[in-house]
Amino acid sequence: MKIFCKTVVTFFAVFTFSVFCTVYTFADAQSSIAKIKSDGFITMSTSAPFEPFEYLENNVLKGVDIDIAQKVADKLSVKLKVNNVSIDSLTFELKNSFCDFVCAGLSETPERAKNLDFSEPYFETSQAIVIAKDSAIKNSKDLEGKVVGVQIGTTADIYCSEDKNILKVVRFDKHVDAVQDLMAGQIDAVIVDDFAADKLVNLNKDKIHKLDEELTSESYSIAVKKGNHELLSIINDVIKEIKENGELDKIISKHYSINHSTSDKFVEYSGYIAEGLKNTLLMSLCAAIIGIILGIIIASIKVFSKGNKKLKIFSFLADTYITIIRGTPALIQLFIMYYGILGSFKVSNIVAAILAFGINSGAYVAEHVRAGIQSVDYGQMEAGRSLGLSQNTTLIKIILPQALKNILPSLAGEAITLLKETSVAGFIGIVDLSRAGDIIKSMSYEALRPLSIVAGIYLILVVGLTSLLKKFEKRLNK
Amino acid sequence: MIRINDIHKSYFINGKRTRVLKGITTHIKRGEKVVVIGPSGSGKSTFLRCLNLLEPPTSGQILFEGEDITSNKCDINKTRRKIGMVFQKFNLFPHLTVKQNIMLAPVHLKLKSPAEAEIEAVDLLKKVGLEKKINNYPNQLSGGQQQRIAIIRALAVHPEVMLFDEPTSALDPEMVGEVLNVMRELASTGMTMFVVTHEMNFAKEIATRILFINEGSIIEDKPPMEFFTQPTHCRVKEFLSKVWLSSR
Repeated sequence: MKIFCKTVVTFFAVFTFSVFCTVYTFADAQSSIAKIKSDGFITMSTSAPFEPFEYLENNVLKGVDIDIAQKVADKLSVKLKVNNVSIDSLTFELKNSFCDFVCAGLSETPERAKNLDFSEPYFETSQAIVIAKDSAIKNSKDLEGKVVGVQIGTTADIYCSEDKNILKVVRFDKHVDAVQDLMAGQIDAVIVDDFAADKLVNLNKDKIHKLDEELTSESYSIAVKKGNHELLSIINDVIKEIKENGELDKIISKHYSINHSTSDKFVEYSGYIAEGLKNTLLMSLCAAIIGIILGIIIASIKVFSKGNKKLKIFSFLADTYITIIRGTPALIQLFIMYYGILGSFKVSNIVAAILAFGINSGAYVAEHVRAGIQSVDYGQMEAGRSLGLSQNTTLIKIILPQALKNILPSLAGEAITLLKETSVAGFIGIVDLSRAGDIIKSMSYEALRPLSIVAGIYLILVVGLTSLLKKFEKRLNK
Repeated sequence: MIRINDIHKSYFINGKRTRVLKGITTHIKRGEKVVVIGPSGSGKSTFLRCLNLLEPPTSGQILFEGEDITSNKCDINKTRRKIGMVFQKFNLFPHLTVKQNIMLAPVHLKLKSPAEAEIEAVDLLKKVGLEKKINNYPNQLSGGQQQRIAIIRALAVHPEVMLFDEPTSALDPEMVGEVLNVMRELASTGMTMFVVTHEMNFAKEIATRILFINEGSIIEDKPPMEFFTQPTHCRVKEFLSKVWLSSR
């Protein structure tokens, strides 16, 4: 019966929530050129790094796509705002009006065409096959029965998934990872965009090379929300215009010719690390504060609603909260918070992450605090109440200070977990410490060094936090 | 001052009902010193704890100055200020100093400003001879010292009646005297007192009335001289003979 009640309540919560979100999405559907003009800016989403179309230079997004998007903004005489998100979130961003258009080196595919409308192409390219120096593979026919690596969600991924002759497709988050596996002999070939292929081969000349065969030819277009013909026709005009007056070629050759390896990498990379460190600390700190406050409230409800019929509903809600949060992965909670709950409110991703991590941490803190409260002798509560203090006052002034002192070691453990847990924030486009390592990995086409540095920083943070809390504990025990 | 009308108290342990108080009726008048005696497990402590509702009675009425404190309309926090309580295990707040222990309730209940409360805390500490311990933490004090501080902590909210729940039972024998002295002095100020204790000599000395509780009922209710010399109930006679034997 109890389980049944829980299921019903959870179902209704989810149902109400979905209705709520749908209503919001509909309310938003009126975005148009007029809206863009009255706002004074147009929003474009992209997914960097994808050289030379979008890449970060000294923490500023640059590239062919950015320049084309700027032309679109100029045409409307508004400012350009750019969201940098993960490649698999691009469709979502458009569908939910997080942005007005997507300019991310996207090719039109039947799957994408279901949800998005595409402009005239602005760039023609092909996919190339990269293999190890000593490989026997000569052309695409030799891929039969081989294991091939691709970057997830790219056209190479789609191409390989459809080719039944390929034994197995291994999908990597970044093409750099695929090349690492290729060099380690884990996979037989990597299919990757032509430009990236040149870059990767150039860095590992002695180990890998590119085949001359062009595997697929494809073209890049700008995508808008399905049915937004008004904006699409403006974008098509812009593309036509810059094609005709030669500006497009200038833009492309400008970005192709820039050799990033000559720019000051160290300064640029440490900029990412600093940015990542700042965001990681900000998220951890704010989430920890939310977590502690929430945890104390939830624990108090749980302890004091026991045996009190009037408070039964609160106790039930607290239990449900703890069960759901502890029973699901933090990453999924983060997605639900950002794309689901806050999706319609256009809250910045860092705020969503702080809320998600705070709410997540609260459930764990609540269980620690509950144990702490129960470890305080019940006579303390009686003594407080006998003096005429209310239950809440006694709780705050007498029980909690003693409880928190008892559970400080386990709270320290929770803080460390939280600090490391924030590393999943990169999935919603936040440049946290882990994401910074990931970006540097993509830019430098090297994995071990940037990731070791990031790991080292986490370690220093955790060791520092631990010794700080130990000192605090000692002071409390005096 | 406090009228107790037919209170009952039952506990349920593993679904089994245990009746602890089986209908207690009595009246505590202002200025009285009522001492409760009885074998362990007879319900003395439960009875005392019902008086400030730390244990709400299962049925029956408790009227404090005419107001039914068992009713939902009564603000129990206000009533509890008028009823001080001293526990067997002191229950001082270990994370606060002696001074903070005494000042917490008067300041938080806005009965006094922090400055006034501090002056009074020092005064009270002087009365029990512990003014030097003002900034110590409870775990730096002996049991006897802690219990004396527990008494003045209760007095700091100016109660009209003081409940003592076996205040010397957790003490080393040599410390019992110092706590009883403080209670004696308090009795001499005219405070209404309600004491559960096993200290027969002390009961004899300060009580104006002695209640004997056995198996959840009052079976003897007499002034001390009469209680100790001419008890009517055979259970009381048996109890007294054992207690006097052991204390000689």
